[in-house]
Amino acid sequence: MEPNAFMYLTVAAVMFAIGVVGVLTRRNGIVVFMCVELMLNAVNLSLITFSKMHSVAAAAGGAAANVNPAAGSMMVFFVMCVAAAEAVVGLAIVISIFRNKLHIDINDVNIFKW
Amino acid sequence: MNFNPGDIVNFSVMVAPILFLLAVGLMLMLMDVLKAHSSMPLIAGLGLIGAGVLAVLPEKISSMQAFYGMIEVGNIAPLNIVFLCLSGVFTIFFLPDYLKRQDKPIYEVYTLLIFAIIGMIMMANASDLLITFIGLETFSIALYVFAALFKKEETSNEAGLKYFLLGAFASAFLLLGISLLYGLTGYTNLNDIAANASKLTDNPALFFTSIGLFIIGFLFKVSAFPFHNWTPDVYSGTPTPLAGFMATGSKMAAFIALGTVLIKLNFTQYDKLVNVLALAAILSMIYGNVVAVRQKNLKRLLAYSSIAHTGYVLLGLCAGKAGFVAVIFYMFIYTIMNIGAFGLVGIAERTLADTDMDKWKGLGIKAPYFAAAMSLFLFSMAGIPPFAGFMSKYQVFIAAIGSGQILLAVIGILTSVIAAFYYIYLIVIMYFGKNESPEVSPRFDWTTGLGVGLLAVLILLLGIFPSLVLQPLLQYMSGSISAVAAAF
Amino acid sequence: MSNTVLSLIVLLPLAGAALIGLTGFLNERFRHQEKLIGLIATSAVAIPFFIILAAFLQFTSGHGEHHDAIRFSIIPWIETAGIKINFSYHLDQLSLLMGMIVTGIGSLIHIYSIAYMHHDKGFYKFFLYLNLFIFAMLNLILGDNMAVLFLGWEGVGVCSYLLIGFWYEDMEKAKAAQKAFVANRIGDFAMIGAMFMIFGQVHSLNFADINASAGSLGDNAFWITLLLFIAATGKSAQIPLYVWLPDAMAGPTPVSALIHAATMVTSGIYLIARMHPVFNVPAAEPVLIVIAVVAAATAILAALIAIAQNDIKKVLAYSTVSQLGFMFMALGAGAYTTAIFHVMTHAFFKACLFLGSGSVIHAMHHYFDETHEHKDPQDIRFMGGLKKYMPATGMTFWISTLAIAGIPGLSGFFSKDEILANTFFSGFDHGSIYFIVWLVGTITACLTAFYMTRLTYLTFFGEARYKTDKHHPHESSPLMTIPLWILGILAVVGGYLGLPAGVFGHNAHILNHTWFHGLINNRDLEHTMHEHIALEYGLLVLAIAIAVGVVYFAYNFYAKNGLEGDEKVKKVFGSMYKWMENKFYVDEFYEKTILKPFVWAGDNIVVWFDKNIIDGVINGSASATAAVGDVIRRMQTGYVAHYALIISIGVVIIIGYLILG
Repeated sequence: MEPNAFMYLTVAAVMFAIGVVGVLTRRNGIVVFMCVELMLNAVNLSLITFSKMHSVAAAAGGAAANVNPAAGSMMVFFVMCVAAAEAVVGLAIVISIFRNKLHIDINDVNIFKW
Repeated sequence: MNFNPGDIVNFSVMVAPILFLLAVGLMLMLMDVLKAHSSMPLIAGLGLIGAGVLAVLPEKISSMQAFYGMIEVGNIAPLNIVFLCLSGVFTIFFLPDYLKRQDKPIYEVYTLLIFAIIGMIMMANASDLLITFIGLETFSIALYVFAALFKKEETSNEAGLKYFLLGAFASAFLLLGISLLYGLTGYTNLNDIAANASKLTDNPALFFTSIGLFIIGFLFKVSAFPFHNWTPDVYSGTPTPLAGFMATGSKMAAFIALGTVLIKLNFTQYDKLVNVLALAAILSMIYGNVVAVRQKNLKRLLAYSSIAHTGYVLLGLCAGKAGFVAVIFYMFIYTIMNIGAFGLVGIAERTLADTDMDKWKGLGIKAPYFAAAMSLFLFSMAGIPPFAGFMSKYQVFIAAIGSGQILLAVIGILTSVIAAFYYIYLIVIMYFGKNESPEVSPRFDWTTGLGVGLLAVLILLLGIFPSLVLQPLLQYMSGSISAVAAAF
Repeated sequence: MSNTVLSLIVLLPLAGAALIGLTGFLNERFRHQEKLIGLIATSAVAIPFFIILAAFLQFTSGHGEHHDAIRFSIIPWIETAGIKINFSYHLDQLSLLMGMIVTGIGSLIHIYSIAYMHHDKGFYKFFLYLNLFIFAMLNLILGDNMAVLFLGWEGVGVCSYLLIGFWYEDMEKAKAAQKAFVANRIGDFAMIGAMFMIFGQVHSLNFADINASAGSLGDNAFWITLLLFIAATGKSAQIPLYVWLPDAMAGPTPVSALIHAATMVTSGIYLIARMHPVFNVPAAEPVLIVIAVVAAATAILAALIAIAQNDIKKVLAYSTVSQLGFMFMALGAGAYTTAIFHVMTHAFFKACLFLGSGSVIHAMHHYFDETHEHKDPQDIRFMGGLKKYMPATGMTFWISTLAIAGIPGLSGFFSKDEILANTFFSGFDHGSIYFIVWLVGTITACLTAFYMTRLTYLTFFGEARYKTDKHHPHESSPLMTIPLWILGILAVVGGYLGLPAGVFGHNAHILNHTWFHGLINNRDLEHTMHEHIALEYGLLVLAIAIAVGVVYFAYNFYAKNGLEGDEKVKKVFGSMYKWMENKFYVDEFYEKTILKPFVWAGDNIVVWFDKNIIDGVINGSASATAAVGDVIRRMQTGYVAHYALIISIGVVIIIGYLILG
């Protein structure tokens, strides 16, 4: 079976859902963060898929050609950059917590409430 | 869209305020390395003022984009830059004094502040969703660092972690929304999307999902119910003046960005979207105000009150185009009074080593200027005339009523009664609370004194002459949004 | 003149106040730089005076018959579709005249105060308040809409309050300030009511709009004018709200001269003159009668009280109330320009009298200090013969006394005669009650001539009732006497602006026929006056006879009897004298009938209501809110995972609603 756009999007959706569930259930700060990264990458996959879809449509011409196929691919690069920058800050925060607590269980980070 | 090398120069001139701020930011980094620490706040402040001046210096342009439709430079964009820069300037007044609290002062904040404001400007003035996202992440990352600034303190760690994880989580939803919108229309440029609005309604489910996720991403940033959870915890752990900045600058930028996108998509024709915003507004107003009543910690109190204020601004946003001026006006006034209030809490925190309300008993006598300034900000936040807070509330209520959202306005007025209760309760504590143990009282040094004085004067001035801000807002918006004048 | 220059009229006094206030607040040493402060404050008032003067010259030249008001505005204030109120001002005939009075006399009093307030520890505050007062007063008289006028109206009230209570360490003085504040508040409520009614009818607060559509007000004009009059009774000290003005003399004397004689207290008259088209509406005719009657009653009551007072400032205070009564009589007769004319002449001679009394008090105060006597420096029973030691003060005081008494040729004669003539002739067309008003006015004029001559004689003439062997009182410094002379000269010549019609032919009345032409339309009495031209001359002769006769009599009476003269006066008035001495027990009456019941009600009913009903409701709802808050804040558990879960639930609900709903 030839892989089509729908299948890619399904994979992206599943990845995104896994990411969400991971954030909700995992206790290790780094793993939670990785799950967020998973969500971002799921979106990246969808962006690439849409970009490809639009470029096919643009090549076909007609009314559907009124699109900008490059925008999606471009977006992916920036999302990757942003994710990298976020990782830097996120890991720095995680390390500073680790220095104080010697663990990074997010359920133990619970001074502020109510 | 043919590339022409000359365009780069033209575009650079058009975004001069941003480039100027970038240069200031780099210069600050250099100064940090060269240990020229003492003049960093001054340079940062002057840089922000300079960027603001650069923004309004050129002749008013109706609507124009630089970098091939990526970023708006005309219309209301120059004023957005001024307001955002001002939020930074106001914050800087309180930073040097507050950071003395650390053994080893942290000077990166000024650099980060500048970069955060660049991000905010980009997001607020974006006309391409790509820029919206990059701007949002730029300032968010800076704010994550702000939250976790005092790395040896567990409170600060906690604030940083919570803000970071939840912020990244929420931006993933926002990004998904953008992606779906791109999938639907084939564009990330807002004007192109608006031009192809017919594509949106082809697939209503996808359209509502995408725009819904987009709204959710921003509702998180402005801490609207039910995406408000992080607010009290993060503000409590964040260095106080920076918490004030978070509550104002970033929210203002987010509201402007959200408003711009929604108005471009002409969202008021979709009742469902208005309902979502209206519901978020109502719940934010109720939740923020009701919970704030039970807060003893001033930073948490201000955090909950900021959730409530978000509700009021959303109320104006529900009015669509006609309410947009009111939204920006409200956020600007809120910026003034909230940075003032957070700044004063910060000063008190440094001397009293706590942000507990009970410590403030009797400050009205021990520190009369301090208490008077705080009372002024609180009265203004409670929306009592003749302070500016009244005028801003009045504007959003009028906008809401004008667009037929009577119920929203009524709830807004009722909840502001609750709000008045806890704001005035603090004033009562300051002036009538019996102070058992004589302790040191908060004092102004010259920067904080100047800052508080400036903000207080602005509150009074804009309370009496709201036109000083409303007039330019309407002028810059005229053409694109002329319906506003009729609404009042 | 450009908008910028004209804006300075209003902005300079504000800038002066800000400069003095801020610098004085921040810098301890500046507070003792009395000359510098005086210079700043005086120029902040004198420069606007010259600008107004220049505007006046520009206004009078060139245009000929048709005068368009000079307009300028500072900033927009409230601007929405429904209502548009700006800080915009106009200089028309009325505003120019009032502006010159306020800034001109204001400048003189600023100069005078530099010497008078010498060495006072609140020196800089005094000038701060004075400048602030001038700013507010200019808003009041120059504003082209009621909102700006009201802002000034409140502003002068606040400044007056601050200045009456200037020496607030003295409990009596603080109380006097409070009394003034309360009396003014009552008037202010009426003012707000009038503003709402006008806005409801006309949908504008601009004087031009209001006056243009006065005719369409119909019966509402009755209530509007009544409210405006009540507002005026508060500020301009008429029955029943006049009680604050005599007590207001607790403030420093220059303040009494500026605020409580020359300017602020006349703002009620200005208000009515400014809005006179509304008063000319037929429905408002009863209100004019009310004004005339109240004014006459105020005038005679205050004059009677003034006869029996021994405090030099109290006599002048009651005299002011009485003269304000005269002005309102003119308004009641529909002779608005005449009222303004008397405002002007009264400003000259009364300011001169007050400043003169200040000079006397200053001198007596020093004298008693030197002789270590503990006597009241304001009590005329301890004075006498001061003319010898204080020639300038004595001379100007005497001139002003003659002016207020209505001696022919001096300013007071012209304005007072015109008022009485107008009330008298109103009797023919507008109800014979005006004849009674005229009669009361004429009697009051007699009383005025009498008590003013008494005051002057007992202060400046006759034997000195203090020891003069070692020490004697000294004349005040030129800073104080020069303003006295200027005001004295004005008190002499000020009246020629309004020579009565008929003396040099009809167009001789500069104020009525040339100056105010087309702006203020008095109720038409020309016709009646023509019919009874002989009566008009008769009244003139009567007025001259009364003034000259009474002054001559009173002078000789006190010259013969000295202080004993009061005993004889006492006999003439019989048991009424005790009432006069005690100010007709009005204060006591108010205390018993209004204050006491209020305090009782406050102590009993209100407290009970407050405790049981209000507190119950408020505490109930407050604790209910708090309880709810306590419950719902539990969703703030502090766990990141919970927060993420709530966010996810929010996402699901919102997206679900958007797709399915």
